[in-house]
Amino acid sequence: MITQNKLSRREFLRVSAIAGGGLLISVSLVGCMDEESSTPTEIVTGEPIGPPTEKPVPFREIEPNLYIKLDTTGTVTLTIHRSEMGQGVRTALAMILAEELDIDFSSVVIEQAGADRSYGDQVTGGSRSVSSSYMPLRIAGATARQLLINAATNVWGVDAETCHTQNGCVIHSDSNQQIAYTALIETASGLPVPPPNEVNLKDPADFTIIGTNQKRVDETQFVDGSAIFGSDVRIPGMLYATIARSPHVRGEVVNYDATSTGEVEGVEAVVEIPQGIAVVASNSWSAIKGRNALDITWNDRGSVEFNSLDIQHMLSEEIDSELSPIESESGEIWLEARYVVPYLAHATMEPMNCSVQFTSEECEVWATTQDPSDASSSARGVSNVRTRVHIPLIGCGLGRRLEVDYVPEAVRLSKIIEAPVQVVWTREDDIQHDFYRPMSVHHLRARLKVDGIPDIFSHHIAGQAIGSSFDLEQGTRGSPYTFPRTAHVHAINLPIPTGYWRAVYNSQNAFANECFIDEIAEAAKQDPLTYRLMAVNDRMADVLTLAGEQAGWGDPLPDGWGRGIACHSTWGESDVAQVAEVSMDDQGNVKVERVVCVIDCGLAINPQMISAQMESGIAVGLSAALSGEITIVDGKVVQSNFHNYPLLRMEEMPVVEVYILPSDRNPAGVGEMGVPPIAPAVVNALHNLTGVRIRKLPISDVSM
Amino acid sequence: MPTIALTVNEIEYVVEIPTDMPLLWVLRDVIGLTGTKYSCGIGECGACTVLAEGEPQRSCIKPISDFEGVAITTIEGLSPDGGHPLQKAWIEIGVSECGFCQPGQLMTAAALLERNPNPNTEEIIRAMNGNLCRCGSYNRIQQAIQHVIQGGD
Repeated sequence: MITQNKLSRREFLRVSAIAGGGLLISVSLVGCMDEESSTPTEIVTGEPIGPPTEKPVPFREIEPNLYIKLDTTGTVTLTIHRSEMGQGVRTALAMILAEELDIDFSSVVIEQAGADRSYGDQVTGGSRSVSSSYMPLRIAGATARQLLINAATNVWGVDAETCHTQNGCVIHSDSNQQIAYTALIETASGLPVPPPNEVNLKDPADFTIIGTNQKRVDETQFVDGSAIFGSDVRIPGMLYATIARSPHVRGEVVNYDATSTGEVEGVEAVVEIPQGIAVVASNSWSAIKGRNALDITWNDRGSVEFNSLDIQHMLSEEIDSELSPIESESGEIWLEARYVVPYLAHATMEPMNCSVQFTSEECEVWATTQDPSDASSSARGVSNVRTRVHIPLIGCGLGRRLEVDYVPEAVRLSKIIEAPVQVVWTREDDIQHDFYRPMSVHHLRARLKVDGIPDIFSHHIAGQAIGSSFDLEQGTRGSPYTFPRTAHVHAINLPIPTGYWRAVYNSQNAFANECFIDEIAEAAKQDPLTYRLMAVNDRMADVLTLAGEQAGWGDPLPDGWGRGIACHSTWGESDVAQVAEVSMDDQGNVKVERVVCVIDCGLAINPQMISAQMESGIAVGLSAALSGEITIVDGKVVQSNFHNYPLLRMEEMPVVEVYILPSDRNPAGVGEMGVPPIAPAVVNALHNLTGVRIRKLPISDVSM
Repeated sequence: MPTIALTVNEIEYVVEIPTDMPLLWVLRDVIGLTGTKYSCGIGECGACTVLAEGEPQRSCIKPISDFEGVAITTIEGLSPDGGHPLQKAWIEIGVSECGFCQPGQLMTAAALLERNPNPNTEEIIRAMNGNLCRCGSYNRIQQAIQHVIQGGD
């Protein structure tokens, strides 16, 4: 339930008048996020983020990170410090503000913030760009609304209790006279901020905007070509560059010959930088062509030793060395199984890129980043001058843009050539120089009691750590299963670059766990859904029950079809269950026909956006499950483009039905939560159809 | 460098560029129309789709020399005001997530409806299958096309 006790922290909010007429409301997210906030805190994505808080009492003096401007024309401007990459954060936050401020949703204008220390944590990751701003925005909206009511009572000489607000107006209930917010702004700017005990949050039962389907505030630009993504940034006099990067995971340039490159029309410069050889040209094509004409000798610094198959064996051996033999008493049922998932690339539709311009006083950077703070500090480390980072639209993030490798190289190049430059990554650069989702090997073991529920359940996870070994545990903590479980992490150091891939280790761990649960259910002679309902907590049981009902679990399927189920609670925050129906033709080609997806993500802000996020999670998860695989041979990434790293196409997209469970929890994460259950749901459905247990992804590697 | 005359969105351009430069880069880096996107450079994803005399073309692999005297339409020229029935349907249905691939999707869909105003589901999928969307907006794309076929505006 939403409580109002956070209002005791009044220091987090400030109201000031702005020149030319208007109110500026500055809110500190930190100030109204405390242990009592129901926004979950068990979230891990990336390194600890935001500037370190050195003050012993951090809330005494506000460091605002949300700005709301009310001007006298009726426009309400909301500055958003997270990156928009398709999750609809701009729309959701505008909805929350409009709801609590009692204004027309369409009167909210969004301003994208650049990188700025004062915003604190700006990371767009961990599926929290909406949920983390929910309470602060509501409190800010409610406070501003109360301030405007107080201004009206000054004008009318009536009690605040006799006034209410509606659609941008304060209304005096007794006389029914009303006055627009715009006419109250000047008066309001001279009044004190209402104390918390005078500010009332709306009862969620009275919401008229939150929980309704709303179109994106920025939809139009996506259909008329006017949207400016990072690669669309154009700076006067800007040159374009590509960088020849080592074909080996950690190779370096030994020497190079750029004679042929110099003959390519449009090429202006060839520059050696730490990342490789940069070819600068008047256009991207000449830069690409010039790069292809380079003759480079690379070393490999020992990386030829690395092969993904060897790494898989190494991970398996690591687990073997720690596994104790099962000491089985007679009559006991023990089960064990080993699962393997491959490295994966992110393959965002917009490849990495970065544009940079130095002026006399500063360095300006346009970075499609999910981590503006990191982008800013990495840029500043090279520019050595005041640096401003702008955040254009992002053509898909998936966690790839939590890394900022594309930033310092562009800053360095611009500094060297003394001209504005855009470094363009080709698709080959993007796939072969990614920070991959780690390959991992999972060994699960369970001893079943007579009722089929385990009293011993262990999950050994071997893989590369991303930020820390803690990453490997993601998805084992916060599990909805109520029987005792242990997770054993074997974090391996290898030179293969690894990073945060949508849902991080939840995707691997959910695959192994949910496939194994299906195997346990079979051993216990139970239906997979019935078994899970016995083994999960109440919240997930509700999700599973609805999924079963909507999918028609148990109803007959067409010949040649199978049905499977999986559930997962990503970071223990939002619960998702998916039922997949699959078919197979005579040649063994697998088609996922239909997915029923149920999510409990707390209070739903914009249901249609949540559905879209579930669909995209399923699409990303299916690309991976069906055919996604990065292999490394002799230290080189084999795949290079969509012909050998295929993404799901329209003909492969299942019918997807999304159901959102009503909830009075505060909003929880959505962005990553659709991914983890889909691979196991499909694999379990294939078992239902064929009797074959697939324990290694992708499915395309298995001959059906 | 050779001089090439181009007609893009009914405007004539004379550009000095190498004749082997794919149309995509001429649009994006020379003329400055950035609505057409680069994503794969090998004709696998459809993000770069434009219309040439009404036919969908992968601008990332076709050299500019193929387009002399050909009327090219990009997303910026699909309608004068964003009012093409498909553009309206895209907004009505809420198709876009990150939005990056949508110009290419729209151009492919526009070409489909131009030559077949009433495609069935199979024909829609066949026409659109070459356009990748990492956000998996495929079902909503189909809905939006159906919306137009059924006379929605």
